Amino acid sequence: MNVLNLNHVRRVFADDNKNKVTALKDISFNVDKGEYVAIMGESGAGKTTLLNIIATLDKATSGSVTLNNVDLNKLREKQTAKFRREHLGFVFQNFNLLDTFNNRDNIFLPLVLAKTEYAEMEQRLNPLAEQLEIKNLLERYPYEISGGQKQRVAAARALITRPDLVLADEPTGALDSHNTENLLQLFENVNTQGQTILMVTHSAAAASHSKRTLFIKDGQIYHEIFKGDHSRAEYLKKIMASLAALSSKEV
Amino acid sequence: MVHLKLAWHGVTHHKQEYGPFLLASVVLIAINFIFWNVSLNKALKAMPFGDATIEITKVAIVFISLISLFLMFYANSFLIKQRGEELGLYNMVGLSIGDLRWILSLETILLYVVSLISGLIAGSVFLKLAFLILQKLLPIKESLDHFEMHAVSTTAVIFLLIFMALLVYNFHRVHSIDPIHLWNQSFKGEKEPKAKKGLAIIGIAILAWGYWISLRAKPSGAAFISFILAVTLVVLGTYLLFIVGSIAFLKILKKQKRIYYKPNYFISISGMLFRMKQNGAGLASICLLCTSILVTMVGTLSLYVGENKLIDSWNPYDIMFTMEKQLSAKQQQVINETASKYNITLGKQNQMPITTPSSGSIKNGKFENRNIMHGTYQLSTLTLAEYNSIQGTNVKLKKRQILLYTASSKLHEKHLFIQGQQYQVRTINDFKMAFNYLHSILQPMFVVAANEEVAKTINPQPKLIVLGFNIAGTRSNQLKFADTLQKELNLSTATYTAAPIYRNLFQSLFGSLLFIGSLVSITLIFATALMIYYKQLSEGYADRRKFQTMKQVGLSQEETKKAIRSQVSLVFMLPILGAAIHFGFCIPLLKSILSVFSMYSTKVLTEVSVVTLIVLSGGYCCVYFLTTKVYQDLIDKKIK
Repeated sequence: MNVLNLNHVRRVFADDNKNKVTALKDISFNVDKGEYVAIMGESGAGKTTLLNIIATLDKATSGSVTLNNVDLNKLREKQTAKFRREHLGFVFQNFNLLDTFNNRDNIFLPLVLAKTEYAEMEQRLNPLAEQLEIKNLLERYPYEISGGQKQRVAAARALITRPDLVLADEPTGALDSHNTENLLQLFENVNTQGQTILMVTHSAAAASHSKRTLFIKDGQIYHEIFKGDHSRAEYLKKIMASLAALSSKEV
Repeated sequence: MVHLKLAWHGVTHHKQEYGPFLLASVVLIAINFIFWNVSLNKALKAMPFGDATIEITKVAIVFISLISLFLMFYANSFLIKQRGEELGLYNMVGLSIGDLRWILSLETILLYVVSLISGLIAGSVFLKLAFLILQKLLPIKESLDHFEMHAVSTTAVIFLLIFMALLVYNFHRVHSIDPIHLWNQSFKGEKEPKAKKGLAIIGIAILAWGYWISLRAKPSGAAFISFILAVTLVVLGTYLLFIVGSIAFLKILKKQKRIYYKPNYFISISGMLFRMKQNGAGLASICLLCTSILVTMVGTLSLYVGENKLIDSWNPYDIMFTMEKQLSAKQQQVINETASKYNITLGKQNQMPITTPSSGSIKNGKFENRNIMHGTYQLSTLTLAEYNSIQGTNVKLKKRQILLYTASSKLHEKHLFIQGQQYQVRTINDFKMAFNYLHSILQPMFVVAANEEVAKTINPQPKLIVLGFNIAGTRSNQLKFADTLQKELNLSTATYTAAPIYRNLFQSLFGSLLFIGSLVSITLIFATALMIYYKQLSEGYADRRKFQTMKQVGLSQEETKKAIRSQVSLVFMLPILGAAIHFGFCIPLLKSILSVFSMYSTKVLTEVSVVTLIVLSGGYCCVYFLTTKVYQDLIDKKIK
């Protein structure tokens, strides 16, 4: 079953018809339920634009984007906010935790915005905190904990709404190797439990944790690799090879 | 040349910060200039009682200068905070601290020159208007409009000093710029403030004490001392409550899970909890500024509006004086001659023997003699026969009955103990010879006794003759007549009261008080508006990231607006609400002080208070809505 479906998506930025920049030329792909997809590409390839469109923060110029059978192009601003908090979970490179809330309230934030009962919020948090090993961090503030811990809190915030799709934007970008490994392991575990994940990343190592890697160049999907039955090492090798080809060849 | 370019760039590319700074300095320069012009005005000085006006102006100048200094530093602190980053960057790419000083100096000179020129131009324009208004308020016909060159130079020097002080302060700040801070420009989280419940309770106690003093204030000379004590307590209490009390209150709210975990409260309570630590003092200042605007305006307006009432209470008849003996034939002749000299028609003369007043106060239905500092009333007695003949009535009294008249009609005692004897009291609302002996700050109180004997028991002081009559004629002739008569009869100012003279004095005094009170209030209003603006600006910067994240997590545009509105309005309604409460408790004290000026009318005070409060709240809301837009725009701006 498709969770996400992109069909000939095109995004053009135009100030006044003169300075036209085509960020996305023609992008089509599907993400199935329970999939874990990594998107790779160089700076300026259109990764962020793509992510923004899927996150309902931006709209495609043409083409269609459906998430859970909802056409994102047809959502109004007010509906997109509701849609985001009900169907999407976000994990950012710089965590985006708010220092005015303690970690518990940071995790509760999307639920509070959705006007969830307090008891329900507690009920959802407990198993999640257990799994993410953040139980003893809940009363503390984001500025009091390490980067790796912050990203786990941020992950909890993304997962607590039980979203159809988790969008991760360079989630390991600000982490050291040890914490990177931990987080990726965590993503893998969550995915095994059935959570669909779409991750944008620079890192081949990070991508090697996914089930499928898409390569973008100049606003187009350039290549696609499935993990299939390969070992992680083999999968990583293939990703590296594709990256090398991507940066040397002109398309 | 590079320095000048960078300085120019700094000023022109931070309009949001420099705009209000320039506006502040221009307005303050204009106000200072107007004040100096008034204080140096020769026509005003030559006017009768002009000295009084000028003295009041001088006190106001000191006050305004202090406010200017404070406000300029306040506005500057926001500037330098924003500029710090940019200057640090210049430093990092290779400009020395000395270069940065150059840039700052050039910027300061630029700002000084621009604001001085615009300020003086604005000041000169408004000076014309100011003099026109002052002339309307004062009992004079000649034009006051005069441009004093000396005022220009004085204003220029004062603000040169202020700008130099700012520059020295900024130099010091630049010295502490460390490019390393720019490298790790991470948002450093601030600890959540602790709730200091003990201090919050002390704050409430102090405020309550201040209020209590005000509520208990008696109209006596001691009221001034109470006033100063009450003001000190309220200021202290306000700061404590806004800084500590607000945090304690928010913490309590946060503990209520049902309330806290609602979208609007969730955002505003958590935001304010962190904000109050830095903002408590600012909000308390706004609250106190609003209160002082209210008190200044209501006080001066009441005096001005109630001027005629005051004159009536001092002068039931246009000309009144007290003597130890009856008017002699010679004195009568002097009166008649002076009247005919100035074309004055004399009204019927009334004479009344009365005892010299004794000062005291009423406590538990008992009149106790006290000295002038602690007394509230000055009591005189007259006989029923005299009363009936003056009023044209035919009242009858028993031996233990008295008639009682006070100007404020606040006494409702049925029985009164005076000199160890109880009397049954009938209060009267009208007494044609009610006057204020020696223009005292004590409230006159007249006791009508059944006969001479009782009158003497109540007040054994020697007898006085009070004489009063009305006059008719042109205004200037009335004034001349009143003046000449006092000289011819050789009466001291303490015993002689002439309505035309006092009307002239009060109009000068209260008119200039109102004028200066209004100018000071405008300055305070301006100060308040500026503080609100900068508050919104800094809050906007601080909250931008927060709302951006919330948007990503699923807060719609409309919900963001709603959350902002509820947070901002919570923060800004606090000071005006606080000011209104402060002012409400201040009214009894204000009334006491006004009654020292023999102003007893509650009606005038209430009317003036209500109107002033409405106008101020309206203005406050305008400033608030205008500045909220700045905040909103900042939030909406995308951060990279």
